[in-house]
Amino acid sequence: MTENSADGNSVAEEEEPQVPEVPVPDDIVEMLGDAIVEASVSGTSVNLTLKAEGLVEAITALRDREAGAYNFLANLCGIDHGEELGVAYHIYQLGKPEHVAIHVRVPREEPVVPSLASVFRAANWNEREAAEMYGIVFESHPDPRKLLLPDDWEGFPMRKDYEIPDHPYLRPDPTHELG
Amino acid sequence: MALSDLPSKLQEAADDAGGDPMAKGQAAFVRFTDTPLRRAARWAAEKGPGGEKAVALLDRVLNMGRYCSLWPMTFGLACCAIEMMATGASRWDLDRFGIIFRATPRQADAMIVAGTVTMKMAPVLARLYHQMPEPRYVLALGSCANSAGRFYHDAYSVVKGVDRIVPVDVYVPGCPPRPEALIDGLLQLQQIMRRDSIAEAPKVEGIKPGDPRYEVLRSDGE
Repeated sequence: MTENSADGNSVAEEEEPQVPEVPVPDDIVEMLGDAIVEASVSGTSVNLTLKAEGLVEAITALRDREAGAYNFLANLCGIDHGEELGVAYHIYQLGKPEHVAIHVRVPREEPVVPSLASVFRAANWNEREAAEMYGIVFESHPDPRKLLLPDDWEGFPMRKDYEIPDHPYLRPDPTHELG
Repeated sequence: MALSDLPSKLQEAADDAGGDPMAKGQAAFVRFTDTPLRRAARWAAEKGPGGEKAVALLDRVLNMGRYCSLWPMTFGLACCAIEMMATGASRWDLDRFGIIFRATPRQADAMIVAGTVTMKMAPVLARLYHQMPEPRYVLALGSCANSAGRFYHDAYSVVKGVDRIVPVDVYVPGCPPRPEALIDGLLQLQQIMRRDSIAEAPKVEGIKPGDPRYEVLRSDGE
């Protein structure tokens, strides 16, 4: 009790610890140059928003970086932003927590992103999945077939405006009452 | 009217009522084809009590041979398959019922659909079912195979129950069902197999009263 009265509202007044703003490593800014739209650092992650043009060169430069090569493509997925479609890449320095989170945005009407399959072989199947699920076109992909969906599938199921096709196998039973 | 004309007749009735027969959520199936043996058995059963007795004896022998050595085809599609494998292994031991998994449809009696049936798998499932010799049976294992389970709403890729593709004899609920439930389902299936008769005529199943095809089917039966 005595401590409380002495300290007053010490708990409420406690300020959040200030996170010092860490600059993006100079060599990355220098390497990528105009390709960067936006860049920041949070923890071990360098967050980059890049232009779709020259993406392959930019990521090749990151892969061959001298001060810690980002050489392990951990994740590649499509994103539906509504007006725009996006692709997110997470590339790690193998065995370390340092990584880059790369984000590319392309217009919904013409979602064309260069394929990374020539840089990271792991990108091959991930890009096929993003292509069939979001309708993103990966330019010069070596094997642009569907990966998970049937070959004759129409539409892009992971887009927000996707509607489930009216198919006998997919139609809910009309005799079932919805709870 | 021959049975082979019936599907088109049923389709016409469904079209007249405005749409797909599946609009009623049910598919129509003809379980087995009419073979010379079945026709002979029906002829014998009609001849009199002696023929009936002979057919009953033949049924008993044939059915015993079938249900005492039930060979289900392995058809594991998802996590239910793990339970199915556990049921087949030594702890629950399906061998004591004469049930041995057969990895080909050509020598299988039944198909255990264990898991989620996706749109991509649906044509494969139908093909494997039709590759099985008659009489053939289907056991739907788990909620997904019964009715798509938790994928019933808002799933673009999951078939809303395997009974939209093939006729199902036994539904085993659960997510996934315990091995005891599968054993119970298989024992139920054995009871269904016991009641089968070769003198039975093929008929269309899966159509309930209220379906636009129901009247067509009734008039056909009479």
